[in-house]
Amino acid sequence: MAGHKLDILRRKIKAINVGISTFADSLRMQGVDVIEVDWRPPAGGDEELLKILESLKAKDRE
Amino acid sequence: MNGEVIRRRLDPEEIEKANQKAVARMIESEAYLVDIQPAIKVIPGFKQDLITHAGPPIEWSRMAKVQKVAIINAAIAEGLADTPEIAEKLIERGEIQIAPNHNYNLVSGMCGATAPSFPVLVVKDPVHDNTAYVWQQTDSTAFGDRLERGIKEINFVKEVLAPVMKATIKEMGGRINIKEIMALGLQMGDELHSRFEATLGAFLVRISPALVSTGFSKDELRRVLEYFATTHGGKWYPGNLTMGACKVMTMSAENIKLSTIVTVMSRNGVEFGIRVSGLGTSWFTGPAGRVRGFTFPGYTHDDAAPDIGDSAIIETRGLGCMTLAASPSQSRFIGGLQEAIRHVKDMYRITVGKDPMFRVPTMDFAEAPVGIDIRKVVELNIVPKVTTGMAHKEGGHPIIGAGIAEAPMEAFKKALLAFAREYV
Repeated sequence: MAGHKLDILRRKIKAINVGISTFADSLRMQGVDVIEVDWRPPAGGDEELLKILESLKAKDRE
Repeated sequence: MNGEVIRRRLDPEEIEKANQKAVARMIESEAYLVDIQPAIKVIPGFKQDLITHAGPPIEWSRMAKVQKVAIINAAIAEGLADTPEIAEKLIERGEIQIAPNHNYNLVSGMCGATAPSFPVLVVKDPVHDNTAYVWQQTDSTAFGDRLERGIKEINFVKEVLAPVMKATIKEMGGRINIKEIMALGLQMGDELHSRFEATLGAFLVRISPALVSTGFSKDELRRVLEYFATTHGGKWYPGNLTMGACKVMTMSAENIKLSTIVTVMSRNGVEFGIRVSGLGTSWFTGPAGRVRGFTFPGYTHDDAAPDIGDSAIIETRGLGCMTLAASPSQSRFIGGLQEAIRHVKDMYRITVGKDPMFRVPTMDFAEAPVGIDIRKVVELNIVPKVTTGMAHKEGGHPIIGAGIAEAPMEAFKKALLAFAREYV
């Protein structure tokens, strides 16, 4: 069973990196295919601002 | 509107409607250069003892040195003081008043020091019946360059350029369509904030028959054309027109209740300020950022003043750095064309509309992003950037470089908190 799970690490990995680019850079340096997703914490994680934004959001607005 | 409380639960759909209205008004606005007149004569409320400046309001004691130098230059050029020391004393005592250009629907590049007798461009939007004014950039009032050098340029503008251009406007039936020339320039490699080669060409082609018909002497006309062809101020002349056009177009989106759309962005070298449609004339500020780009020989980034100027009105309208990919040459500021395209795509994420008249040719003629929404800026953590010149932090020099500066997130957060206090 344990052997099965480790098999994935022996195959060619393709990675999705969400957020900080330097993690993607390290993978690329090791020859790993990486797709980067530009994501940042909404409102920088500020809870007060997040509450305000939520109250100002129209229904079904992205 | 300020102070009015909405005594019911806020319906967010009303914010969307307000924003759509603000953006529609910006897009449908027109911009015509209709006159050139001394500021004191044509700007309501302008006073004989007033020097105005770029950016949000700031006390003299906190003002950036280069902006102080530019204001002192303007005061001396105006005859309000004989020496810099006297000018400074008069300002400190309040006998020469200072105020933001935007208080008077006026814009001016870099330090933006404007004096009462300076001939300002008058730009009208007949769709919404708004008028904006521009004091053009000159080395000593925009960059705080030495007045001994710069006074010749100011006098040339007053005595030759302004009268010739005023007469040219008259020869063209009293109005020149600036918006149309800007749209053309955007499709020819200009981003309309720091590069204007194509826009200047289009402008000169359009005005040349009228210019020649004004009846001014061959020598005066030659001096005007030489100014356009060879000087910083002349090559940047379309920038003045663009600032005025963008100011008058963004004015149409002001004071719309519940709108979260940015109507002004402006810097004074210490603070970067924004104004928001639904929040009237209140300023929300954060620190003015560093300008990152290139410097001319003999200067380094350490010599540069922080971001300064009313010219961010261009980005407020959705042009300049908002459409950076339109200019392959200026895209180098951000690391190349692909980076510029990525940046413009980010700007779509923080705006609510698109302008069919302004198109980015390198992005398959995509429409320019319009209507910066403070909610999206804060939520997505993406700030607008501004293409801009660099002034020497001490003054005493002309332009020392150019590059890109970021708007501070702090300004947008403050605006959002104020919006919530006002309406929620």
